[in-house]
Amino acid sequence: CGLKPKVPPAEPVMNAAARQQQLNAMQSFTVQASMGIKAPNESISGNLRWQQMNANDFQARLANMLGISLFELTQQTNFSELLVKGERYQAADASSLLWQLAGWSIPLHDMPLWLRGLPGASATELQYDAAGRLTRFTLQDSTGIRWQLTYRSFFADALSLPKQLELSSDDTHIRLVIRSWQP
Amino acid sequence: QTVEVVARPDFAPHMQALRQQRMASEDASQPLMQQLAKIKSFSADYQQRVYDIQQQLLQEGQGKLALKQHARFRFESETPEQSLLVSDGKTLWFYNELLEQVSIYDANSEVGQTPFALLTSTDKALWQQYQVTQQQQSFFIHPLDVGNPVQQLMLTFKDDQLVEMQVIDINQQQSVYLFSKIKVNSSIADKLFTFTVSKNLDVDDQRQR
Repeated sequence: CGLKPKVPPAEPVMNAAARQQQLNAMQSFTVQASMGIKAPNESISGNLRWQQMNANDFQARLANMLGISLFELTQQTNFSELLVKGERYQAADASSLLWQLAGWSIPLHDMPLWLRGLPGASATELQYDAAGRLTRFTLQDSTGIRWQLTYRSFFADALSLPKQLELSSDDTHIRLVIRSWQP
Repeated sequence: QTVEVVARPDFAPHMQALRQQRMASEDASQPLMQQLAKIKSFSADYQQRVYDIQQQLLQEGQGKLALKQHARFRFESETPEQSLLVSDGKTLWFYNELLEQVSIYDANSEVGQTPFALLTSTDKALWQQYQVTQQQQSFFIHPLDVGNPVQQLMLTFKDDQLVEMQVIDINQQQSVYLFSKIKVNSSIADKLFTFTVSKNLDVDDQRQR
């Protein structure tokens, strides 16, 4: 299917309404990305593998360059389980659990949406570019932290999925560079 | 958990390694130290495969590894992402090209306790923190500290060449490295084990002043 990013020259971005509709329709996908996190007492980077099964269920794994797992998160409709440092934890809210366990966190609740360039219900101060693509917005995550999310670049095809993203709260800075989208 | 014996494909699933490890018991640090002492320097290409606990393939990668006594190593990943872990024994640099970020650590810090630091160290005190057993040409290294992110390191040698390394981490994720184009005791310049920080990089210096 057309999700695989084609080699440039850059195609013109499809019209905003069609793109929005197609992004919303994406229910299952796998993202491979390089992720760097700079939190007050923790600075890590690694390979993020995000596997979205359907609208609610996903599995996320962050492993460092040696393939050593930093965290594994399994999210189902009413169940989220986090595996960190060999221990399994269940919680209603994975973001606050990650914060307590790993010393850093990321707005996981809306991540299936903002990964695709969609704002989600709690987004404010939305900004779009000339092609109608969301380029910046603010969101408050389940732990109450306010994040500024910025899309630095997109894949050069009509669907124009996000490629480089940055999230910053007042004490944490996260960089995500997406290497591939697979259906 | 019953462990059934599985024919050994080219990448041995970690059940296989765990079973082999339980059969050998006496301490094999001496033979391992002798084997490692023969390897003054080592360079090879590697194929990496990462499996989860159900042995589902999570990630494949490749790159280059260079080791040199004492405590010098260069682990250069080409895929899935361009990154570099390099140490001259005093400082450890971790460079991620895509993120344009380099983190700098003291080589003897907790982060510095990588399998490569162990492979290039003849420091008795460091080795005492590990239990070593042997199974034919494979050595199984277990940290005595249960909190260590690496739960088991397996090294397999063939005529004094390191041919395979397996790392099982604290979440039971397994990374298998198969080495090729292996060169042992060739001369490798010390310069290869340093990293020059260029201005455009986001530097994250975690060394204790």
